[in-house]
This record gives sequence, structure tokens and C-alpha cells, in this order.
Amino acid sequence: MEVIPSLDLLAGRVVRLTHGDFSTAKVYGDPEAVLASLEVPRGTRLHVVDLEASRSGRPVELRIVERLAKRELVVQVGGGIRSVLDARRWFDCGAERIVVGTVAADSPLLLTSLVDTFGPERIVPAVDIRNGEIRVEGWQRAATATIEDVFARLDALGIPEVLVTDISHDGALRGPSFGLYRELAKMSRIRLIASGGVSTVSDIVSLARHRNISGCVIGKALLEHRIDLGDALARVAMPNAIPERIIPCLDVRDGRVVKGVNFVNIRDAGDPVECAKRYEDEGADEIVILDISATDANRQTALDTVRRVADSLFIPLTVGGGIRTVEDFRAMLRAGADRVAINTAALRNPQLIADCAAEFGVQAVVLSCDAKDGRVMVRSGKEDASMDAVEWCRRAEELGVGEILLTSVNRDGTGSGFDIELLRAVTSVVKIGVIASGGAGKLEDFRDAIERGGARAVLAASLFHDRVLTVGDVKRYLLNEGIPVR
Amino acid sequence: MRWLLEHRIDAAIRDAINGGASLLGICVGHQLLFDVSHEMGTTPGLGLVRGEVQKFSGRLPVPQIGWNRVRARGPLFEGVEDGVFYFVNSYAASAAPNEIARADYGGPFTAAVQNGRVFGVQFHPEKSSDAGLQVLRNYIAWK
Repeated sequence: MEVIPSLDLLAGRVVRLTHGDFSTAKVYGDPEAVLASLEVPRGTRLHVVDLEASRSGRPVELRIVERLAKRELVVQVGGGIRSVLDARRWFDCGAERIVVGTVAADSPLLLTSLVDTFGPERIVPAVDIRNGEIRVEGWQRAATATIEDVFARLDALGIPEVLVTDISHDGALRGPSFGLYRELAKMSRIRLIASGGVSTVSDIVSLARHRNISGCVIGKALLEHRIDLGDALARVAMPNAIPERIIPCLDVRDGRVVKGVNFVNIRDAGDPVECAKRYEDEGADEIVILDISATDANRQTALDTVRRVADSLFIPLTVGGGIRTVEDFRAMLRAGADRVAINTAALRNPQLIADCAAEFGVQAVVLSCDAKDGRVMVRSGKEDASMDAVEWCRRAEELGVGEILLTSVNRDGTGSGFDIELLRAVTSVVKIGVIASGGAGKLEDFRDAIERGGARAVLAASLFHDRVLTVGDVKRYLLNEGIPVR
Repeated sequence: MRWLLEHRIDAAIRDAINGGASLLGICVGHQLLFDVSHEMGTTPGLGLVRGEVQKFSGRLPVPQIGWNRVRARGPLFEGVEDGVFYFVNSYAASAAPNEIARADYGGPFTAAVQNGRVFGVQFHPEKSSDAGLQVLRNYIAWK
């Protein structure tokens, strides 16, 4: 999949408009200076929009497109192209492709003559979709043709690629419209250039996993430096190289697995060793044990549980609950944990994270962050720590944690889906992996946590304990949805 | 490595191998087998396999923590030539002359080596479920 930086031009400069209003233009500067600051490599495809042309209907920024094309950039340009003559002027300046909007949906005759004159691979129809309808004329009006009809017509013309913008998502930070792209994949074999909602590197990776998506346009997130183009290109080069992980969680109290809703109404759910072994056999990538009763009095019981599970397990084991000191941490590692999660104690003493990282390596340190309404909760979700969850995760990464186990206390045990907003908020500010936790209820939830939330691993407890789903069910489903698993 | 040298364990390892013993290095144990490591300055390794150990230079988060697919050949990987194994590492060798398995983390790196009776795996076979146990079984069978 190509990552396509987008530049909106007005009066020779790169700008961004809010809701298409010219009076709101935010200026980023000279196009070549902007491209240099973004470190756009040679040979990159650029999506250039001539805003003045889209308003007036006549090409304006011809000189800039000429300059960009000479710098070995592959330029596709759009903005009010209403005739074969307009199109020819852009091509004469070195544009590789032209992007046509309203024409694609509402002017079949013009589209046909553009295709006949320049070839289908040089014409990129752009369709703006809202609630299952194509919108035209600045989104003011629904197109007369349905999405199916328009795609069938484009396919018949031999058009290989269509730029699709879900305008209910554009500019918002909710992420790309993965559902829409899946629908379009069922409807048409035409490849899509996804536009709108891309705000994290994970979004780009998730798009690249869709077989029918050949490109993604990024504007604001790149210009605002929320996405580093180099990072995005590195990840997108091999989007399926690293499998995403499924992690059953054992909440343990007094040596037994228990389960509860919102950390209360606790019920017995079996022996930890038996549960852990069963999950490994089902294909679990890791086991998490959270000792929810950890106090000094029963520390030996907790260590004993970890020792018993670690002895019989051949996948990584992460353990949390009641870790207050470097010595507690060490005892868990000695008992056989591969990684140890710190929660309450780290909030009271953030230096504990740095100390454990220095002693055992960042790969051994996991931050367990319980969030309720965006705020960090401590003492098993019972007490508000007066700290913003996103800010705490960002800070923990600096202090030295290898991964973050992010639990939504609101969703925990409810089966109503992971808190995608919370996940996106955290995964957009940290580079380390985030394990999504709290709310798994159905197969789609696992997909969404990874695809939309940007999680690198997904954790669930009661869903697996109650055998509503097996780890194998989840993995087969994810694979089928294009998400790599082991 | 310094600790191995101070306690003369390097010599003991070399003697054992010369005497016909086989060796399987895991993770840091794999890294110690090489000529040179650039972790904590440049230090010599055991020199039992050719090559150098260097920090990951790609743009992916370091350390690598998690499962990764390996392309392998040879007796150690019989039945799991295309296996997925669990890695925890910031450093690795790349394109080592004794390479028998390769993986990719923002660029290719050496996932396993063999030089005669000396084997090394960058991943943790003991944490890699069935695929890892198969590698351990293969090693024991090979001995």
C-alpha cells in the first residue's frame, strides 16, 4: 500500500481549511519546504488539491505541480476539473494522474471522454460517501447514482483505483472507515485509496492489511507531525510481519481463578494451572495473571501460584498485583514470570518503574493502567488517582516500560466491546505496544481493538473462562479479517 | 561476557566443545557465541560463530517483544522451518555467515546459527510453545 501525503494548495502555499471554509485557512508554507520538513522520499506519490481551482473551476497552481513533478514526485492533482482541456493542462505540467470528484459520480459522459483521451489508469475518480450515499457539489447533494452503480460504471471503464473519503469521518480523529472499505470490497474489485480519519501509524498499518486498499492519503496528521512518515513507511512495508497476540487473563485470589464484573461480585472459575495449560493448548500467545487479592499476608500464596503456572507453561507469563518494590518485582521474576505489571505502586512512586527497568530491563516491565472515564484508577479500580490516563501512559513510556496493559474499568466484565476511544488516545501518543483489556464480548471486538484501537495484543478473561469463545475461535476470525496471528 | 572471562568459563566452554560436546545458546546466550558484540561498548564474544551483534537499526520499537515468523533450514528446525517464535531482544546479528534462520524486525536479522556442534537461537524456544519445544526436541535428537 502506498502512503500518499496530501497537500492542499492556496495562493502558492500549503494550507488546511476547516470544513471547507476558505476564511479558516491555516498556512503551513511553501510546498517544497513542507515536503522537506516531512522528509518525503523521492518517488513518493503526492495528492495535491488546488483549492482555488475547486472554487473557480480553472487550474491555478500549475507552476507548483510542475516544480513537484520535476523533483521526481508522482503527482496526482485534483480541484474543479470539468473538461478534457483542464485535464490536459495538468498533464502538460507533469501531473501523473488527475483526481475528479463530482464528474465521477454525476457526469458519465465527461468521465468517459477523460478515460478515452488519457487512459483509465491516469484518472482517479474521487467519491465522498456519507451514510451509504455518494455526496457531490461540496457534499451539498446526494449523487443521483448509487454506490453500486458508480463502482460498476468505473469498473466497466477500466478504472483501476478510486479515492474514497468517508466524510462522516474526515478530519475527526475517530480513525479510518474500515467498515465502509470492507463493504466496498464485497461490492467491487476496484482498488481503493483510503482518505479521511487517518491519525496514527497503526491506522495506516490497519489499512494496509485490507487487500482492496492500494493507497492511503494523509494530510492533517502528517502536517501536524502526529504521524512520522518514516515510521509509517517502515511499518507499512511489512504490515503482516508481526503477529498480534491474544492473551487470556487469570484473575487470581488465594490461589484460585475468579471472575467478577467491574471488579466486584467475585465468583470461582477454577485452578490457575489447568486454565493456563488449556489456553496454551488453544493457541494463547501469553498468559496474564493478576492477583487481585495481593497483600503482604498472602504474598507467598501469590508467588506459589506463579511458580506452579510457570512450571507447566511454555509461553510467556506476565504477572501483576501488589508489586510495591524492586524486591517484589524480583521475587515474581524468580518465581517464573517473564514480565511483571506495576500499577498502584508506580503511581505513588513513578521512580519504581525506572528502578525496575534499570535492574531487569524495560522488556520485563509492564505498566498496568486501569482507566475509568479517562482517569487512572488504583487499588483494583476502587480509587481515583487524580491523573489523566493518557498522560500517565505517556509518562510511563518515558520512565521505562516495555508495554502497557490498558484496562477500561467502565467496560470490564460488561462484554460491550473495548473502549476504542481510550485505546486510540493512548496508542496515538506512545510507541510501545498496548494490550487492550476490558469489554471483550464478541469476535468483532477483538478485531476492532487491533484495527481501530491500534492495540498490539488483546486480553480477555470471562469470555474465555465461560467458553463463550476459545482463543482458537478468535484467531481464526482475525486471520479471516486480514489480521496476522500466530 | 566479562563475568564468563573472569571465571574462565569461556575456556571451559571451548574445551568442552573441542572435546565433542554440543551447545545451544539462547537469546543472550546466542549473542555471546559471536565474535563481537556492540552492546555496552564493543566487546569480544566467545567467537564460536562468525559475525557481530548490533542494536536494531530500523524504526520499530526496541526492544522487540513478541512473536515473529522465522524462515529456517537444517536439523534444528525440522518440522518448524516456517515457525513463529517468541523474541525479547534489542540486539541481533544480521546476515551472519553461520545463519540457519532469519527473521525480520524493521530489516532482516539472524534468528539462529549453527557452526558444527554449536547452535544459537535468538528467540526463546522455552517460551515459544509447540514450535519452541520442537526445536529443543530436535536439538536433543541431533546430539
